[in-house]
Amino acid sequence: MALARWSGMPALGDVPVQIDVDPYMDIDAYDAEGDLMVLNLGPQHPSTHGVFRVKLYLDGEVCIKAVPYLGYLHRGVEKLCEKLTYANVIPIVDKNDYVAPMTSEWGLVAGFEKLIGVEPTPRAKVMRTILGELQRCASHLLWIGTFTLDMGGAIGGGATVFMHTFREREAILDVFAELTGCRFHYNHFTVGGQRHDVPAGWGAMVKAVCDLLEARTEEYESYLTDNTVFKARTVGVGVIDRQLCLEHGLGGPIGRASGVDFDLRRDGDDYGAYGTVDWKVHTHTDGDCYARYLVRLNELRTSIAIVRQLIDGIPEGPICSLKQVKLPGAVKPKAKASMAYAAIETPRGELGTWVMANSERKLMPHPYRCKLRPPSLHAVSLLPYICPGNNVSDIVVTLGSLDPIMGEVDR
Amino acid sequence: MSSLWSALETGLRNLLRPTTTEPLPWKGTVSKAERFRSTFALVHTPPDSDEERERLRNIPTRLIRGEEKRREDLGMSEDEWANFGEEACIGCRMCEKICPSDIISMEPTGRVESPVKLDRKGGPAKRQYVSQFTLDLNACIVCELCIQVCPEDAIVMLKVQEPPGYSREALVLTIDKLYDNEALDQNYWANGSILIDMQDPKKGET
Amino acid sequence: MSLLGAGILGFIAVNVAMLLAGWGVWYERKFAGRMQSRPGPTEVGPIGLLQPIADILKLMQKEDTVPRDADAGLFHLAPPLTVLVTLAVMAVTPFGPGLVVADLEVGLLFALAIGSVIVLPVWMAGWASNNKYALLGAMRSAAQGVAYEVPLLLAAAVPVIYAGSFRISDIVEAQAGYHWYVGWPPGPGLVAFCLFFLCSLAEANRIPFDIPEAESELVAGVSIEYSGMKFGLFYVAEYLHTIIASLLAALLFLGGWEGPGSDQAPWLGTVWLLAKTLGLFGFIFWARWTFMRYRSDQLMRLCWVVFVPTGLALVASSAVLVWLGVV
Repeated sequence: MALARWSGMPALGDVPVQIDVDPYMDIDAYDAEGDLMVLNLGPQHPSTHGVFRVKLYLDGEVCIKAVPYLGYLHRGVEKLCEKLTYANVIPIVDKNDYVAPMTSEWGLVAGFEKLIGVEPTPRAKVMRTILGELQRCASHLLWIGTFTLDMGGAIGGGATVFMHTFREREAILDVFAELTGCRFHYNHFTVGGQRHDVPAGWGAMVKAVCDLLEARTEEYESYLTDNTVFKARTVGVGVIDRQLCLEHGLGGPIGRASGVDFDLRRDGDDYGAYGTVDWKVHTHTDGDCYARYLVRLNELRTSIAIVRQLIDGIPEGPICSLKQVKLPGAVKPKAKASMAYAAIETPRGELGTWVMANSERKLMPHPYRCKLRPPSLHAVSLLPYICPGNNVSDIVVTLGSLDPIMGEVDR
Repeated sequence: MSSLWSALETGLRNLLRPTTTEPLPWKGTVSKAERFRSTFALVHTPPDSDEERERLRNIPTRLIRGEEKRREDLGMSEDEWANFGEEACIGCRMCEKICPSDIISMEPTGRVESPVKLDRKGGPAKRQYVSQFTLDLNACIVCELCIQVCPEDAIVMLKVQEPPGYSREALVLTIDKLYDNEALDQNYWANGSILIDMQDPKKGET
Repeated sequence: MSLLGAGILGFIAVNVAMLLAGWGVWYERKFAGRMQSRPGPTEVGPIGLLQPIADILKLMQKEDTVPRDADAGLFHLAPPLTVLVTLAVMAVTPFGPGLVVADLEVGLLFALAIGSVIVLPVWMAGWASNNKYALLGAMRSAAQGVAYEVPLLLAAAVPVIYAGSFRISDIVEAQAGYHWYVGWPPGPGLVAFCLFFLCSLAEANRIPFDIPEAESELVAGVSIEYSGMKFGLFYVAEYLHTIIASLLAALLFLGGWEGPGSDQAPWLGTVWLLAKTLGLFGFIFWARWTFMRYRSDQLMRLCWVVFVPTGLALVASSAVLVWLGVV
């Protein structure tokens, strides 16, 4: 049973609202000052980052309990992974983390490769690293845009930053279109390597994009980092402490902003060319929305630096280490009764793929079971812990700073 | 205060930059990429030498969608007839099987004697044709896998900038529409051989 | 001014204000578009100039929905009332030397009093909509509207103290000779102008103070259940309020209708007044499309902790300056 006690002037914002944060609290046992209002931050809302519903119990404007409802975007992807083969399920998982499809594909393909025991070629490894880092830039740019949109509104300053970041993101998407043909949802990864080779002039294009991004990131920094209004909305808001991050298994930018020094690119299996490049993991200790913003902005810069170091030195050779036999069920796992887990660092955190091969006498060309571990699910599961005690405005900003992608959460 | 001014100044700087949007559909292109994925086409295999062309000139019929047609039925001139090869699609159903969205369906004719193709002994070879081929673009996720697996390079991906249709019915590509599309964009980028060669693990080795 | 003259002037003024509000939408969309690397409206008419007409026609032909358990009387009454109350302020503002509909001795007091009534229709709309988002927006709007009245009045008191009269024409004439209160006497005038400007922004629910209609949280806040022309009226009322706030600021601080050539040709004075109003209007857009919004409690803190003491200090210092005979 929890009581909210106010001392000081709530209207001035210095409300030390002492609410015992208990996500499992029985709301009927709560003793409110007035009536409790139930507000649905419903599936149709400009700031819920996809179809997502949070039921907020409000006492005035302060949230007492928050109940998230997931599943509005569930499409049965893991079931599809059982029906489709290793070769043709990859365009389906593009649509999980639909904002960073390259890393979504990479996560799945890494799992399959670990199961089958195939190594990508050196050229493919370097290409994957470049594409993953460019995708990280694109995803963080989109995040900055939508974050300011949450604070400034579709009619207002947020929209300006949003449009600017999308303009830069288009440059990155043009680079991807030159390589694969699609601006979005590429179906570029395959078990053993890549499906498209680097065209002529791609390196110069990527370098031009890196220069553009660096210049524009300086602009975003000057626009936002010291902006009084931005800081007033984000500093001290939505604080997630380190212990909570560890309990929920959060490692991406959210964890790093709370002091969890963990990055799969450095600490995980050696899955890309990250060991050959000089780069740095950014952490922060505050754990508020501002810290998450700083971590992501710095990650943007680091990604650009990694791409610059790799783009001139892509090793020659084939891009795929498995012959694509022209049969749908071509890729058959050689290992028996095996299961594998592989995880990569997407812009949201650890994307894990656990895949189990069908190990009966007749080896099947599709997995027996494929479980995807989306990082956004763990981020969204924080909401019942960090919403209570905050205003509706702060909840919206915090939800934005967690960067959830519902396609990945619901699959 | 200065931070607020720097934000205002950034806005002003962007005001003075040129716009980056394209006023489609009046001007501009959907995608300038060389490998842009748009709609599909089924292709014919053209003759590859002058002797072949002369031989084809003298063959009176072709099998179109499994039916015999003469030059007069199709209204072609002699030169057009000489360049008109056979339909490449053999109805092997590879594309149908690999499609993640299950949008391809076809009706093969069964193996029949081809008026054009010769077997090793010089007699008419037997091959399969398709009489119906439907590709439902409403559900296509543009993954290029059907292109990749085609053993005959029969289905190719075009780079047209216009949308393939404006209604649900128009987006269901029948076999006639697919063969009509062949004329739309002659320098398509993606067909099976190109993709498979690109992904060859022995590429670059002598 | 005779009753007929006042009527005609009022009619012209209301029409001009509504036209300015309508094409203010066009200007804002073009300006915002260019700031965001896109052209804004280009299709309807040359450079999109007929876009406001297209918008109005579109809004007029929409279905007028009333939520099931809404208070229908208040629901229907709120949008036109917002527009009417906003327009009523123009009864006391002069548009040129001698061109005022009602030259009240307490003109400025009347204008600010009517301006404070605008809170009521917004509150009505929020309550009558039977929607929690609208209610939240209405509560925030009422709190903000009422709170920001205080520094607004204190800032508006500075030209009153300098000129010694509440009649707006007197205030403008006291600034003749380019002694505009924004710059002369140096000090309180500039601060008072900034304060007046910011408080007008807060009254008009403009970014950075537009939390009552914060789209990202409250999905259009107070006007969430309104469709069609009623929603259009809220929109128009917001623009009108902004124009009228700019007009008042131009009259009180920027010398009103004074400009090169305005002594000889009075119509040129009206043109100058219009130019100053539109300049401030343009700056409001620039600020709107640049900044994010403050949170509700931060807004209130800003008002009570920063603006009100500044206003009190301004009143005191301007009174001292008058007593010293500087003005």
